[in-house]
Amino acid sequence: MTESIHLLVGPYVLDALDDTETIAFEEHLRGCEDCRQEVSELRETAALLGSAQAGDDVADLKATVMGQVSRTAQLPPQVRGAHGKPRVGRSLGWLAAAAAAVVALVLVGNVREQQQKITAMNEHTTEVMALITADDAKVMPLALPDSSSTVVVSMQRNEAMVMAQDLPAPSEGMVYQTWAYDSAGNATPAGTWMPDEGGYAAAPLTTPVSDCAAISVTEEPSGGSAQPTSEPLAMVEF
Amino acid sequence: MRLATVPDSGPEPPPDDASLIARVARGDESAYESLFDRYASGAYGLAVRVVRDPDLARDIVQEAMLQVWTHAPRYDRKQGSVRAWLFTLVHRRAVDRIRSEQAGSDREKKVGRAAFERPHDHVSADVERGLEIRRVRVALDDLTPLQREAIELAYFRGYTHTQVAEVLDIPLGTAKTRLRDGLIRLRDSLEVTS
Repeated sequence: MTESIHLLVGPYVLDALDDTETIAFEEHLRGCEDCRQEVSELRETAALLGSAQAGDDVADLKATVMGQVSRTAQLPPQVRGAHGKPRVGRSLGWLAAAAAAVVALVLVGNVREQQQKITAMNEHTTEVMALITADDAKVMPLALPDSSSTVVVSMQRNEAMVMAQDLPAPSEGMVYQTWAYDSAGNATPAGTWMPDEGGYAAAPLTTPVSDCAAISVTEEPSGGSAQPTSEPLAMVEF
Repeated sequence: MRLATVPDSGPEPPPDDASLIARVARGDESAYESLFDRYASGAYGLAVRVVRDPDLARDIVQEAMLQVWTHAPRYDRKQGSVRAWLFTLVHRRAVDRIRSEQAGSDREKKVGRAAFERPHDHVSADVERGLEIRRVRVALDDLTPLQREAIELAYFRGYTHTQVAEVLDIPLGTAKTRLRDGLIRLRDSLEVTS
């Protein structure tokens, strides 16, 4: 499995995967340092192939683009890990002089916590992969602001999932909430979620999708709402 | 990434991409202009090779270049060079266009015309760029015919690996492998490190 998915590095870098395969492979990339390294190297190679094309005079294009640039605002930078992760090393500093047994216990605790995290992450990845590799999986763009987001739906599995990349965190004290609409336009809560520090999220809908005509995403107060309390940030009809 | 060698004495070396993009991230339009001059022509060359239609290619480059401006504050060096970022933007857009069904019918009509309008292999005034183009061609020639064909179909014609396998009449696994080992061979002969 890992062996064969690793081979997709080539097609991926050349943009030669279809949408579903791309999402599946990017999911794999998140957990595979080797593939990330290879993608990064081969992407430089592909860029050389691209930039080595004989060009053409682009003076008129330049005038157009420079004009646009002068009246287009830039996105704000993404602040990553602003809160800073707790530094295990530092908090253990004073313990160095304490009994070795205590230190060992603390370390074992940390390892367990790490392992639990990794297990949770693997389970999550398995779930995500199962949906996006379903035979009838459909990928639809979802216009969440400042991000590249999609909804993946499989009617066979009766499941759907919102996937976001580079999505800014919601306002302080708020979460993102997905809503499922029936054909009459009634909204049912379908899960609250947050992007991680890198702006990534894969949030399965908590409701089945068989009766679902559309979904939307709103910002809601922490804990979520029973009905949307703000305008949808994005909406997709099935 | 390999940087051009610059003699110790002589005129000041041009700023590298990393320092240019850092300035662009702070809203510096002249730094942006330098990046545009450096890459837009090549980006257009790539786009027109993939989509064939010069007008469409222009739109693609325009959108991608504008995205470089708007997204510069979020550019993360760890994810690759500016060149890799820009050409990925251009290439993805080009491939998306030719894959969208809508393009299907439009394209049929335009290909005939565009066939007469393919840009001349006009050698850039920039000698360094000329050398680089040459270097890449030599590296491509060094691939096995199957590797080269597979890479060209995927990268320059926007074929998926499944289509590459179909057209070359080889198993899908072989297509995947040729695309990857062809790129690795190119990387090694071009000495790319990221």
